[in-house]
Amino acid sequence: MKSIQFEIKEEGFLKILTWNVDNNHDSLWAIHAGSDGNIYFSSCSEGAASSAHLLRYDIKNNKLWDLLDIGELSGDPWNSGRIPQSKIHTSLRETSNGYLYGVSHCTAPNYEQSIFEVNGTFGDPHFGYRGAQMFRVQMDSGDVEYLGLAIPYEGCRSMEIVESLNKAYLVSYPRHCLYEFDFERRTSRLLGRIGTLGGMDIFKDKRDRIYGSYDNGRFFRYLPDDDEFEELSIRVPGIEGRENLYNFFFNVKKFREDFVCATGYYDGHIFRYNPEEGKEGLIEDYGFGWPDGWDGKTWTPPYVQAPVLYKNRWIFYGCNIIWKSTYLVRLDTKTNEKTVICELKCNNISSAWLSEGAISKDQSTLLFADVNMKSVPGVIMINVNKIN
Amino acid sequence: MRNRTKDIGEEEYHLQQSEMMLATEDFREGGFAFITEGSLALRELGNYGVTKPISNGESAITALITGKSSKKIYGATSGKQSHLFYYDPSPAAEHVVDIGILGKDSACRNLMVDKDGVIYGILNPSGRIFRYVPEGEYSLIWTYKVNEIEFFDESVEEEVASAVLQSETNIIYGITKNTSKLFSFNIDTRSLKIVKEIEKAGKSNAIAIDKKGNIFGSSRNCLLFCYNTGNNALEILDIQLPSPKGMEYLNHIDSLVYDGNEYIYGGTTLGTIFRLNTATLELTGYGRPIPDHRIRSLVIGNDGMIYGCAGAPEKVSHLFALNPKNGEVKDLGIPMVHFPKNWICYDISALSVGRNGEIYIGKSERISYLLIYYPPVKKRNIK
Repeated sequence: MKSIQFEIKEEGFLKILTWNVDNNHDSLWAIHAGSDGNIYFSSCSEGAASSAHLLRYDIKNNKLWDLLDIGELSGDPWNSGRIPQSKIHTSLRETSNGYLYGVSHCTAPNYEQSIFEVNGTFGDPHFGYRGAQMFRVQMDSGDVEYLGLAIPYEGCRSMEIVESLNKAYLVSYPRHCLYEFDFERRTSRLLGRIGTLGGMDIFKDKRDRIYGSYDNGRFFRYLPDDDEFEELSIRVPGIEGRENLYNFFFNVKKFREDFVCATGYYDGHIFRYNPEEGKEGLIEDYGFGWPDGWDGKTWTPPYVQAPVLYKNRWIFYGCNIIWKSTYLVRLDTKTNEKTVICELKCNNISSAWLSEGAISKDQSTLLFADVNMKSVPGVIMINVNKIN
Repeated sequence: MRNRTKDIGEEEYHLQQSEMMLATEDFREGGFAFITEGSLALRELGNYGVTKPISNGESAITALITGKSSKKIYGATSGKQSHLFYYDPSPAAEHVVDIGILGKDSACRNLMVDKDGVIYGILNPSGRIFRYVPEGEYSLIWTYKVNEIEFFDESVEEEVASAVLQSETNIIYGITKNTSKLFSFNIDTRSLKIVKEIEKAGKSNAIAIDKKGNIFGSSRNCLLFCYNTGNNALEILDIQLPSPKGMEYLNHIDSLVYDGNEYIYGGTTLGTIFRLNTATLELTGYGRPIPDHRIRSLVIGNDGMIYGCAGAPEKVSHLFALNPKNGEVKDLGIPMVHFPKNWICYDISALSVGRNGEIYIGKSERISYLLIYYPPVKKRNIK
């Protein structure tokens, strides 16, 4: 763990935190507000080979720490010629015993290449991706531990941890399979295919059942105790007839046991799912995330990203048309009123995508993992009180 | 920082290029892993409203065989329940019909068809042999009829690694997986016999029989064996399967297909392919279509090409073609379809050939479908 330089620039009620741990880093994909008050996030690349780093921002002491380089930790350097360990997607999970777990992903090309082809290079010992690497950080000490290969040859898009079983459940990429990783044995097991692009995100309920959705938005549930999949009758809400090719849920955030927030991939709806209600849970559709709905001129309705629940009533999230600027939107879950707060633009750089959101422990600051127009990995910080 | 000074417009997104990579010529020429020669279609394992599709977890297709006169394709699945099904490609039906359940927590990797079109198969791990008589079955867009699946009482009572049907005598020959025993089952007399024990033959996944009644398979150190059904003679041939040097002991036959005349084409568990001249016993190796292990299925296309699937389970299978005229082996790529749904076929266990030369692909994952590959039509020569 080493201290690193950083910069915070402020513009209105927006602040952007930037740093430089790797010249090839161009994006930020995971962010987690730890129970210790620190903010954990992953500095990554998509455009060029690199190793993703896990960073920790100590708000109280205004310090930034570089906790790990996943390529170095797992013995898989970024310039090996293989597809590198360039990303940690939305797969940071804190456990009750004070650890933060994470797992790596792949989306950047091989060293000195511009083409990224994970299917063509699959399994190749010289050029292919070795697989998603599992690690954990002891949050009070910052000590890092490498836990092994969680998914062979594939990256990881999403993870849940079932502490009672000491196992993690992971969604693989590119094959979109559900995997189980046993922390004690440090072995992984394929549970089964769940999609082609769908099944990207998973979450768990109070009983540690794992939920996901197929490409067309139909929910499934995996029961770790029984090693069984259940097909549920519920679907991601959206525009009828647009289930194919895709309308799986993504940008999932579990706020409470009875409140999982997500959005449909192609339909831009934001919805609440309560897994504890009834046999299959209950969906409450808040409709299009963009307050004006969809004009039908773009290939999809505006995407909803990185939802964060504030004071158990308002959801803040990003919303944009793909490759256009992202706006911050606030949804009042009681009235269903949606308000565009502002364009997320700081230091003259517009955000293109918010990958994940969080809120600081004192509930004062919204935090977003920013993938912006000019490849400057950054954390967007918004003082909620100033908005109000 | 890289790209910070990149001359891009304020509203241009730097990752747009990588997100659009699939659309670029550079990528399609240099990094596109999917099949681009020919075309593909997908069929679900059932037709909603007519027959309930075979469920996820039970749909992994592990055996396919072309029915009598190539009118239907029969298949079997493995998983929590193993199903027997047929695909009727006629425009009057064009759907998969679930014939019935073969067993629970079971696998079927062997289907055979006799001269009358009767389907035989072996269900593992019990090693039980079953029969399905298609006569009288039919299917239309709105309805279908299937017959009962019949299991024989006689069984080798262990897992069967491979089997083949000798049509002329109505005898099924098979190899047991754990004990490497060659057995015969006379369908007419219901007589089951252990014929020979062939060292390591149970490690292989296929045997083939030629028109002279010779059964070919692999034994210890990937040496071919030949068992003559006429005189009950077993010979371990001095012919080794093509293998990486030093890995011969790990190599076994994975798939075989007989052209009905002179040649048997084969694939090995280490991923090599070969041709055996059954008359001269000359073996020709063609290398490995992809760097991975396993050649799980081979078929002879109507165009004379040998089509196969290469790649180990839980990895990425590729379809390939061998041109027996010049020995050229071509990796065709990974099957991907977009209609009626977008799907990438990562795990292939079985192939068969349809009436018009289309290649049926049995996908074998928790969620599985029947895919159809239509090889490209050759261009005419313009002089």
